Amino acid sequence: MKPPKTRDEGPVSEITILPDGRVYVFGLTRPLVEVLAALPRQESGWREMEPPAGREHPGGVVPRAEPPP
Amino acid sequence: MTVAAITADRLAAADAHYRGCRLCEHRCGVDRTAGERGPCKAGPVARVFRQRVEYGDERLIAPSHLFYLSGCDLRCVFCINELNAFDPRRGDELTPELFRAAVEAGRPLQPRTLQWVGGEPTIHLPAVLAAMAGCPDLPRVVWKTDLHGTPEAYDLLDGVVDLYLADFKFGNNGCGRRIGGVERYTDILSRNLRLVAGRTDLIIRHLLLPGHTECCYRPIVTWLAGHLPTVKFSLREGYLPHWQANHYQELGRPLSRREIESARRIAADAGLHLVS
Ligand code: SF4
Repeated sequence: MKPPKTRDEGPVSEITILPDGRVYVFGLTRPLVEVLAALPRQESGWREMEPPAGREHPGGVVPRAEPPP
Repeated sequence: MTVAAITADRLAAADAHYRGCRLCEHRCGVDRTAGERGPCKAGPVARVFRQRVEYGDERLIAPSHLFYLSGCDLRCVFCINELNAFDPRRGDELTPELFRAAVEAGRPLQPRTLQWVGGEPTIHLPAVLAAMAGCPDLPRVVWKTDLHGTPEAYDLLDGVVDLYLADFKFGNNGCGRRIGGVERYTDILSRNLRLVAGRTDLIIRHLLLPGHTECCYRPIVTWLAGHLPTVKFSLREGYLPHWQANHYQELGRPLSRREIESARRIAADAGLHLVS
């Protein structure tokens, strides 16, 4: 499975590995994606990590403005 | 707030979350008493990194005696409390004794409210309930929350909290993910807002972010006008780049005068009940 595309904006990554093997990531960067992509995982494993679907603007990525439900 | 609402059953139900935690919507289920840690990194001890009577909150609640607890379930890149918010090892252990002494020390300043703030206090709810249980003579209790908790957690606060001061930070799930660090942000917020709005007094705060008027602010105003049109809405205009904000191009500057004026106009046009 291909890892998600990432845009390295934040300088800090924080990983939490739970006892059952779930991995939570805050601040996903390209080097971290490469490390995580090498680990065995379930297909749904990137759910927490998908980058925002967005359009570009001068201030960076502006995700789609979905009104709250 | 009534201390009587903090029954032994409620304390036990709260405490059970430390052994299988579902206090926030990460719902990671870890046993915090056994040394396991979820993404918030919090254990079974809450820590107070600052406590003092402050005067800068909305007039309805100020002056307020604030208890800042370290540790959070979000990772907002612009967080004003920076590492104090994200590292739950910071501060002094919240015990009933520490809490009672601090409350007494603050009394001469006559705070109208007592406020739990973070980080995020909801991730420490059992320790907070235990601290308040031994303190019958408290002012009105304000729960300053990111509202990313679970309904189970907010059930445990029902009848205990007099007012929710709830942040509505992002107007779409993409911004919630990119600069708040959580999934399904607006889905969770809109559910929880409806939940707590029906229970007790509520002020919704929004910290206006530079470059986020159309993607965040306007959708929030539109949602509130449609779903909670009479709710008290507090627009915070004092954004400054903190923590990692300078790494996010649009967040690395203060708000412009035009952004602030436009935000006020949008709220007024929507007929929101603004409080300051
Ligand atoms: S409060 Fe912390 S331990 Fe509890 S569910 Fe949320 S992230 Fe997990």
